[in-house]
Amino acid sequence: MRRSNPFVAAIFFIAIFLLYTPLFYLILQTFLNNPNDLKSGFTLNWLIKLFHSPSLWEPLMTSLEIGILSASLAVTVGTLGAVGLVEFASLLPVSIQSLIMLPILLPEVITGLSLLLFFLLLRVELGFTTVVMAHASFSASFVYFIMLEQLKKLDPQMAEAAQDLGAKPHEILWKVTLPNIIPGLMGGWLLAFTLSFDDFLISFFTSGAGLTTLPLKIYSLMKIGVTPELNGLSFLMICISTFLVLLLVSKEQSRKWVLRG
Amino acid sequence: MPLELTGLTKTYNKDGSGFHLFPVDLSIETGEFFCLLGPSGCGKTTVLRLIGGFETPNSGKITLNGKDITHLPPHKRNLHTVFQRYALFPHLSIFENIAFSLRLKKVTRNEIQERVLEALRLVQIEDLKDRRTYQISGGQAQRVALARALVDQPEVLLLDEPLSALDPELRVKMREELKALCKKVGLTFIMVTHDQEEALQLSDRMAVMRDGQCLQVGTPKTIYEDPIDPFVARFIGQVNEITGDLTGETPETYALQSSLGTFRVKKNGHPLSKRLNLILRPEKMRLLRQRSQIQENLIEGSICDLTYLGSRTEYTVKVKDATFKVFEQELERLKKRKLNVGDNVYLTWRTEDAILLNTPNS
Amino acid sequence: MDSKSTTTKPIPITAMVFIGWLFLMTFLPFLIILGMSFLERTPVGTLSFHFNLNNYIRSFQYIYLKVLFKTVWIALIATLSCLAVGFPVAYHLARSKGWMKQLGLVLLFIPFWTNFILRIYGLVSLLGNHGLINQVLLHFGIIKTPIEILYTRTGVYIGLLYNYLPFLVVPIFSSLEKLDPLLREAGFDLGANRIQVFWRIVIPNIKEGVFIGSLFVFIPMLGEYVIPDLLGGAKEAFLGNVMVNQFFVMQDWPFGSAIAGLLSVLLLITLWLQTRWSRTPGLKMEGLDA
Repeated sequence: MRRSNPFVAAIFFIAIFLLYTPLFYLILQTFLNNPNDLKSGFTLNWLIKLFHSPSLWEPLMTSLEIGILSASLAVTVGTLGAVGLVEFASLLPVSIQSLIMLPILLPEVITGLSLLLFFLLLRVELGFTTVVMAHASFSASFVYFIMLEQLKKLDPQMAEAAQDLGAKPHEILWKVTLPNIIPGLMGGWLLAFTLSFDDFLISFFTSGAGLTTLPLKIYSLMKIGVTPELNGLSFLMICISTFLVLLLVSKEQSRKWVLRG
Repeated sequence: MPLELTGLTKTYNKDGSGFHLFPVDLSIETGEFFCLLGPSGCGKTTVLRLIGGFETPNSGKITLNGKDITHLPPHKRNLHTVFQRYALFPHLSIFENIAFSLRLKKVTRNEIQERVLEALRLVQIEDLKDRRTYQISGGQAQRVALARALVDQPEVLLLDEPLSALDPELRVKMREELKALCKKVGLTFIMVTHDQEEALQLSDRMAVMRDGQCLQVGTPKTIYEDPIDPFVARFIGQVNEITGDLTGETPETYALQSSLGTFRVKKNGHPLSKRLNLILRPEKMRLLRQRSQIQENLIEGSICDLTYLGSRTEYTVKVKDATFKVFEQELERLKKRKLNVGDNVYLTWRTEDAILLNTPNS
Repeated sequence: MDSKSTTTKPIPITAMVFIGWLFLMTFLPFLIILGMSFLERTPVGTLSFHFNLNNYIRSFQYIYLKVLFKTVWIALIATLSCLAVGFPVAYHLARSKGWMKQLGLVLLFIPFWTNFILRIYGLVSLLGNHGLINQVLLHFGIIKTPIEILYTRTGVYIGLLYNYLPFLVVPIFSSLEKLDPLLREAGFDLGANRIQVFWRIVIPNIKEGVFIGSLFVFIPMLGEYVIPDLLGGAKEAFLGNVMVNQFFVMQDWPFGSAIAGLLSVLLLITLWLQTRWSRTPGLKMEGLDA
């Protein structure tokens, strides 16, 4: 009884094919002499050029640094929240629930602009710090949900058992609770890092003039229209993303978040 | 012949573990309550799904009133299933659940109204017709599932462990109602169950299955009193077993020699090999307080456990390295000396109550 | 770990850090932008702290209402297109077995973990006048001059469909997975054929999940900025684009904030509709049990 209609199956395969077309085309363009001409022959020049071009390495390093710092910040804050609220999670007042959902539901354009106004009113200089803070502000909620789920799976009697066996509160935390939530922590960190690494719009509003992340660089190159360099960069980014997905998929806890995007 | 299965086989790989249904031949009479009994994984549900059309057999034939239905899809077979988890449609009311098949057949509105109400009356839940499926209890859901399957008068009703989801008290009550319902509507009921008591109580005839094989078909009385396989005997009710060798025979009896002694057993016509199992039902064994004149079929042992169960008392008697279960009716026990753990007793039985079967090759 | 002494326990300090963080970094900025929408910009470019509703009254002018309706309309059509493509995709996934199902899901999502801007760039180089589509069509002589897809409304539709499809496939897929396969069998058993089972059993039981899933696609589309900006050009501006324009080009922060307020109200209405329509409480995200 489980046969799929061939028409339905065809739509599925066509959809998958079309989803990959733009990405494969970007990769193909990287190796074309003239990226806008399929018949121009193949070359490795663009890739070689990419590795000698400091104007691209700098944004990459910036993106990595922002990703690492904001992910660490988000994991700290989000985990603290989950640890504190796990017992209340189902009976939290709507106001707190909405507050936690707000960063996920608010359109990025509003989040970005409101953070920009906020930083300007506080007279904080826009740059590295503001971008890190902004990224951690929206990814903390995602980490919270991952950690909440991980903590819910823990047997509440486990901590009591440890206490019964003579463990002090800090020993319970370090020797019992923490080892059991490490998979969630790692998954949450990777997710927060990926969200930060991927982000364009919020960085766009909160980075100020001097700072350029990789997505911002791509955006500005796109606006200028310098394609060969951009294609080399695309190739590099696709490689990094694929690597990150594989890492995330290998972590059971974050698999369903991968599938949410 | 109403429902006939001939040489039905089915092989499939489920989660890597292969399953094979050996050729099954069954003929089920109109109006009969037929049970397929066996432990889980014996293939009983597969047989039911083959009849229902949810699986296609590898070979063999299914005919319903002379019509070959082997390869008809489920919706073209004039038989309905009551599913184990009821499978009521959550998006429809109770009334609409029952009306489902009639609406598909484009029956007129008045007739639907009439027939659904009649079906509701039949299973005694008229007052539930406007409820939603999540507003009723398990027992009520069971009745809705029955009414839904009966409303367009199928030729055969298939029931897949219909009582297993109910609590024990309700289960016993529903058994009686199911049996009465079968006789009232005069349809063929085929039920799958792993509960031997249920099968004994409900069926006119039943088939005992194991490992994809149909071991024995017969009335409950035949299955219980004259099993043809030690597995059947063990599966239906409790048994004591003595393994031994055939050493001699008289015109009426066989002699069986075992480590517990030599016993005489009445001949019953089954072809026998040399290695045999003597099967004794606990309620057919008698417990003697002292050695009597009886010399035949007597073993000496000591009581190692007893359980008082009101209407009867169950004794566990140790004889050498074997143990025997013996049930003694309370009425019978009252007349005699009270027994305690450790007491020495003698076990005996009537020659015609013992069943002699071939020891299966393991 | 606190002892379980009373039922009304105070919220622990650890949680206060998180809640405080959210309050400071999300809610407060949001309040600021809302507050800003009630201020006014003076002719010399400074802010006047004279609270009024002028910005909202101004936003009901024809040109802004037109943008509002265009945003809702395009988001609606794009959601329906996602549904038209996403339903068969989800249906196929739900019907496939074991590793095929897992592989299908992963295949569907891998493109979404490459950078968002990069995906847009991929679409740009695909759809542009020198893009793959035009190159291929010109090569085979199907067209004489490049067809314009990029910087048109079609470009926006393609961008939205491409970027939101999987987010609709998942809720449809999980509704289908939650549907007890026994219900289909019961339908066949009671005399329904495949088409009847689909329309009378499958659809009625999943329509709620599909509707909620559609809203979860529709809502972020309303707040879209980058896709209309990069694929649609100036003509196809969404509410978000007009808002950013007010901030950075017109330098009118209060009016830009009023548009943000308007957009938030629009989202609230949609969310409220969702809570009304679903039996389960509104602010709940469905997990994927795959």
